[in-house]
Amino acid sequence: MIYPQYIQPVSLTDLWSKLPQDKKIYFLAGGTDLFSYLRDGLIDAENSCFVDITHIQAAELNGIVEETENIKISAFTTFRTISESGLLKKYCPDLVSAAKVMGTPQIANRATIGGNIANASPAGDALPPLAAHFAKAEITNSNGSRLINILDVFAGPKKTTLVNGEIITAVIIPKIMAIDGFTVAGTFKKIGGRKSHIIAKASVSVFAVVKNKSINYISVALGAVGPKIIEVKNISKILAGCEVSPELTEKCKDEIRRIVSPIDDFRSTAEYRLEVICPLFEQALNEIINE
Amino acid sequence: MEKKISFILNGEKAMVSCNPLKTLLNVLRDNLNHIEVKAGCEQGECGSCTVIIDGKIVNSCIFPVGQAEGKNIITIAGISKKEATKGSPVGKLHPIQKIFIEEGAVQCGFCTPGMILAAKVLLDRTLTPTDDEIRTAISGNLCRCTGYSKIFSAVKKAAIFLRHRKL
Repeated sequence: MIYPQYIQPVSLTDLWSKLPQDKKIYFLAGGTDLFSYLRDGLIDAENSCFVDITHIQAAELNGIVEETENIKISAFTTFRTISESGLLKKYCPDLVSAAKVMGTPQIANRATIGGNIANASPAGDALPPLAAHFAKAEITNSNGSRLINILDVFAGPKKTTLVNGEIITAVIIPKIMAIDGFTVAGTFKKIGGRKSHIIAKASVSVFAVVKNKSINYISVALGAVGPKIIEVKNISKILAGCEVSPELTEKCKDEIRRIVSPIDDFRSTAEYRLEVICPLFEQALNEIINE
Repeated sequence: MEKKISFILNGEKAMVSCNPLKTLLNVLRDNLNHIEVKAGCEQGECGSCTVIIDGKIVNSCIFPVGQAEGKNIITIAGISKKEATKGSPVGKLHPIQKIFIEEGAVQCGFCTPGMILAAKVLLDRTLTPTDDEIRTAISGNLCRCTGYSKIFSAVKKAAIFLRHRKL
């Protein structure tokens, strides 16, 4: 077997000095996607370099931190850690909900949120919650870091807007506070083939500030029903400041049907995706108003 | 490109010289003759290659051995070995292993090493797991023989056994 070049920098400074200029760079953390690609021959091994970033993680980039305005999650954070985070449960329950169903325990112990973003799959489980929270990705290169909106990271299915050699180092999620009497609620739903290891055929993340059926704030994003993650902007216009009713729920579902652009692929069909996305949304919405 | 990589394997120092992107599964089986670690789907789906690394279960088929440097790795052979009796090549079985056999939770046996390691990590964390916790703990391990119910009851029984042994 031909292997890509392999380097294991111990710090970001070390990374920039070691990074080969003439190769396609793949950052390796949990490797749960990369190793499948390597095995399936989807990586041109001779002209690629795997940059093992787990030693950088140990040295300088770790954890979930509460800042004044934001929650900052290191890109190296595993789904296991996210699923157990009290801080995220408080501010991003939909992300925690997604992390809990992301994959098998073996995968969740290894897979990172940065990898989920970099893989840019429309079915990536962390992505609808991050979109629903208007998160920003911290992109770092040898000149420093910049923040970009999470949806602007994606150029298409499995394609990012990052330049070769740029690395995702963190995710920044703005905090949304509940007003008096209201609570923060959120959930993530998906449908797929195997319960413990579903790659979504369709997924939805709903994040809201609620009191019983009253919605003060709501944000919804959909996965696997278009080439990229879809933020459903108009649901906020329909529901914010209102009580959830069957009529308004139908309006939301119309909006979802209008905005999605599902396709047929090896995992499912456009017809099926269109059929299941609205019930998934309705389940999620009902769950948060009944919490 | 070869690299020297050392780690602790079942309580003993191990060292290999190989490409750091070779999978831990292949290193364990080919270089170190630990064929108790099973190669199933080799794409992180089935869990038969499960090993415990620093207390967490991972699929060794998608784990680059370069990341194993300095880590504490336990295979199914490592959980019985701890209590090995002198002169026995097999050593003493771990209670979870014994109960899997007694309960008929083993048929073809291919998923068993991974299944037992997944159960062990759960029972190391809690000896009073809920039914859901048991199901989640072994959800990354596919079994094509048993229909899971005997495996589930074996884990439940093992929890009770270990709880009483602790008292």
